[in-house]
Amino acid sequence: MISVHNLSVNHGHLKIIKEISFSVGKGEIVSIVGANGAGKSTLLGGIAGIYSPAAGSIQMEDEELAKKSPVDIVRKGVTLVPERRQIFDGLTVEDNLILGSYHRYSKEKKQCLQDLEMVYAYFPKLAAMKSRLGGLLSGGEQQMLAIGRGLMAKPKLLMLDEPSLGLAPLIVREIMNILVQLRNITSTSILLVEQNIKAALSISDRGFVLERGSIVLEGEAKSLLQNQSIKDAYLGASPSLQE
Amino acid sequence: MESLSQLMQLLFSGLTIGSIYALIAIGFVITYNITGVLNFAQGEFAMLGALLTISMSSAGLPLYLAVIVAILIVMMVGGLFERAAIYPARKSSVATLIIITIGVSFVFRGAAIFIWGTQPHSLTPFSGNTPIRIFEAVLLPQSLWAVGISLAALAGMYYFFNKTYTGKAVTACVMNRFAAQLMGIKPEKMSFLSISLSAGLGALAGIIIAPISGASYQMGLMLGMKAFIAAVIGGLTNAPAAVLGAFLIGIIEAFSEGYLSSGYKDAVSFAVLLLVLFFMPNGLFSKKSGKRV
Repeated sequence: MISVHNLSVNHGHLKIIKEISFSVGKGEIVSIVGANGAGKSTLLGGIAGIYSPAAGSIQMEDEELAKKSPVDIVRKGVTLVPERRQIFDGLTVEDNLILGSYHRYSKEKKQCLQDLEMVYAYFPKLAAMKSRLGGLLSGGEQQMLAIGRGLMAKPKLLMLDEPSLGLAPLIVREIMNILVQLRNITSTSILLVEQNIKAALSISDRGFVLERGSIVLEGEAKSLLQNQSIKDAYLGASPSLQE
Repeated sequence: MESLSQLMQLLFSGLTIGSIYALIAIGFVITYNITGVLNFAQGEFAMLGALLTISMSSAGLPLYLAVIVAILIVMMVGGLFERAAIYPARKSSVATLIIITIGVSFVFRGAAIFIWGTQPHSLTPFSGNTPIRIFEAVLLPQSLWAVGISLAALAGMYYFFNKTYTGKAVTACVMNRFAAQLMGIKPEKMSFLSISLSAGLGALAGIIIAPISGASYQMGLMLGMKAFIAAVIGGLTNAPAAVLGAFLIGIIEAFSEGYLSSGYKDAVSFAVLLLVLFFMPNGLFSKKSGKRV
């Protein structure tokens, strides 16, 4: 559904992402894992149009997305749930969600309000605190809000940047389960970027390991979890990466 | 009782001028929150609104129609100003943008001299000149108009930013520009919207004050400065605090005019600005303030 070909993204003179190629199929969950500073967020920012790619192409259903503006990319069905949630903390939960559908709200208001109910069905916790200010929610609730807000854009591809960041293992599992559910019901494609390699790979179909801007390993998520070098580099040594 | 009636008199005139400052100060805050630019041409919108209304009403248009048309024209001028002067330079430094707004304010003032000359003009009060007596003080009907219209406009702004979808999108853009972009909200569009809105508010302020203190090509400078002081007192990002700041400045001015000398009123306002900047650079209400429109 989306295929990224030889994508490079720079920050100033620094080459952060170096000629990466990968694809995500319809209804597939794909993880990109790697340590801090590997370039994961830059990669997602490049796809979402926040950073203009230096080279390469991003094909989404035969349309080129590279160099398009963030607005156009949202309209084409690619939505990014950014790192550290970035919710509108002075707006209510419901306003946060409804603004997620900004790019289509004026055209299909009714549909948006129906989708709001769908999001509440996925996240009953949010439904219970509709009129609370987003900034007053707990970290896990804010992450759910950020994902819900992303869903309101009605994406074909939902990209999540470190949804597990700073959350308790139990909440991480809850959020991962919801992502699987979402994929199973709506067959939305999901591109998950994570430092929490175990949590990410355990719900993914395929995975890529990113190191200093390049993909160093790729394969079925299950086999990556068993891979000895991944175990050594990411799962065994550093206790902070363990669940 | 002499002193009480004088006190009331000064309070009324302070509230009147304060409500004018409030409208312009809100424009400052809205523009600053959304574009990061201090728009020093803000006061000129008041001048344009007042003089346009005077021209149209003396050309025979009914007053209410002249007011509406003038506000719409000034909103268009504001939008044009954003597209022609701010938008192309949006990636420049804040200092550059501020200098651009100062330059534009000269352009507006110069154009006003060409069109309306240097003589002051006057506008007839909205509903006669028969004073109303309250607590031994004399209140002009125009003062009631000023305070009433300002409060209505402020309520309208509150409604727009907190209850309408577009208003919430603007607010979201202020709170988190990055996330707003990811939702498909265009900051450039919000900037256009906010500057035309601020221009409309400024025009309204100028129109209301014209029957009280007259209108001339240079009225925008002082109005803009005072409103700027009010906005700074409120911390620049907080609209309700800017409104309080505006009323505070209005009342301080009225009292220093009444009890000291009218020559001192501007000096006192600027002294207040300096004191606030020295001791509470985030505004008098900084503890309560958040970044909201």
